Amino acid sequence: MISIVVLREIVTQGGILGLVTIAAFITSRVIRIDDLTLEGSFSAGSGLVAALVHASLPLVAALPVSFFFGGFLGVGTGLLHERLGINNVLSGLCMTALLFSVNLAMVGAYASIPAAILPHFFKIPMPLIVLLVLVMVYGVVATLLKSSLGLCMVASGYSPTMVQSFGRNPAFFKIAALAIANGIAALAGALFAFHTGFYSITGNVGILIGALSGLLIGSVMNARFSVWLLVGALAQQVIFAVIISAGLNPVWNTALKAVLIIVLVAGFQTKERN
Amino acid sequence: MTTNLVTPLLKKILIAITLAGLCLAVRFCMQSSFAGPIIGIILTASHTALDAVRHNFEAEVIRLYGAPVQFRVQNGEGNTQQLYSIASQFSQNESMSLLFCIATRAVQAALSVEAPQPIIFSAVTDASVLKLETSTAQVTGNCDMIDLQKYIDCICHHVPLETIAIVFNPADLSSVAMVETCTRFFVAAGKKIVRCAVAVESEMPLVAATACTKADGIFCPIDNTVAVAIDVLAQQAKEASIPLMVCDGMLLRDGVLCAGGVSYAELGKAGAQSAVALLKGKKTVQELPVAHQAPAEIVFHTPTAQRLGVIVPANVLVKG
Repeated sequence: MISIVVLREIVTQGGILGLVTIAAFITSRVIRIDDLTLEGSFSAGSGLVAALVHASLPLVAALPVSFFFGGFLGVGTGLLHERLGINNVLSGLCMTALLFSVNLAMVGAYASIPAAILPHFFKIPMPLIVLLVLVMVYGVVATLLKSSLGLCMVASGYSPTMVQSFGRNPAFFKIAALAIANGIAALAGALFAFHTGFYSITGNVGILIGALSGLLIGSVMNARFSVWLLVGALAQQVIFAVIISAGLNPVWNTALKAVLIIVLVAGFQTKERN
Repeated sequence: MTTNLVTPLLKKILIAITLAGLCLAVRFCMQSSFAGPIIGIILTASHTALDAVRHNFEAEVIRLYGAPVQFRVQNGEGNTQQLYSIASQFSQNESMSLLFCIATRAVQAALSVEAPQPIIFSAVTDASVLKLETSTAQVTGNCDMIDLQKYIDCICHHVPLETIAIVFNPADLSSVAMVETCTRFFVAAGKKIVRCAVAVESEMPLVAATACTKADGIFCPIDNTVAVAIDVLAQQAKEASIPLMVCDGMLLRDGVLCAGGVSYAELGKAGAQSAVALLKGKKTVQELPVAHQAPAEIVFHTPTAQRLGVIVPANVLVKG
């Protein structure tokens, strides 16, 4: 029922969503700030790729540049939240709203990117590029969370007073974590633009919801930072692929998606309880 | 003690004054002393086809009107809420003499805020969804509904197909209406239909891959979501060696076999002719009937046709 082509799409899309899920984990679970900027950063990453390609700048720069751009945006949200004391959801919303106009000014509402430009450049297929980036990011984040910097980030989220009592500033660690998370989200956006061959101002719709569901599905299996996060992101793509291959009345696609996720999560939760 | 009380209060007052000043400045900037007619353009979203309507409309109005005309363009970015606020802002602007609405949702927004200005619409596929007969507004315009029967006959004649996947957005009213019609035509021609829904652009890669494996041909109605994500669909159809047929000449590219659509440039120009007739007072809205169907212009992409082994019929246009 699911062919090689569909499988390839599941892996690529699941990998991109997996990156955003990692970012969502860092914000929601490590520093406990639910950050809406992730969706804006994703879009900014795609927009940056479109801008770079159209300015014929070297492609190899696109991925690191988008990471740093996303990081910069994360710092912006962090400063709004920590320095001006604006609520985290509101500062994320403001940042995303700002980005919408920035993206429009930078590339417009829509831009076409020559398809398969990145696989040509690296001479390896797109799913492999996504997987490589995913493995790299996963490795770096896993190491980071075990390091003293990572531990300080976790502590800043759970008990900022303790971090303060050690003479450290919890705001610094929160902003650093936001920067990393948004950098990863922008990187995912860049990969998405390379993969689909287009950039659209509304292309990020549903990404954050997907990432949060991935995070929550993953959390059912393991609450810590683990490969289950990626499984959660991948599971949604598999569910979606199965639904569209089933060829039911498309009106019910999204409802079916919700029901399948409920069944999946509820099923594993009862197992845990027993 | 007093300073502690006064400082935050002062701060708030200062902020309030700054905000009020900003609002006034914006208001002042918006009230220009332009004497000629101002046309408000509401775009549902921005993509190649709709942009072509807009640019050709502007150019043609300037050419035909002779005297200076000003355009206020606002883009709803596909966001219904945003479209409503643009429409209500435009409708309250008394210096605006005409509204030009591009694509269904922009027109719906302008109709629902009961804009007092005459409305000219363009690139609406099926005008029946606008419920114009119940509306008191002065509306006219051009539809981009193509002669589907002719286009589908041409496809069934020249492209060997058994199962056809229709890729569309189930949340797009006019797209769904078009899917119903073309399903009827394809079934009448003895083809099997698979419906593949793509609700948001980011779903397209997966939907495209599934469509390629489930059918031996892909057909897309006029649909804004598909139009934005056409690159990835074309790429996958090319890889799978499957004919992809669209209803918009602007979407014709490598990987797309053929397009049967209207010329959006002509659509924009037609809108401009009505606009200028209204501005000069030569005609009233009642004298300008809604054009429900536009002639289909079938274009084949030659390299894609050669790769798929499709013989291009003699009576169509070619490109590539």
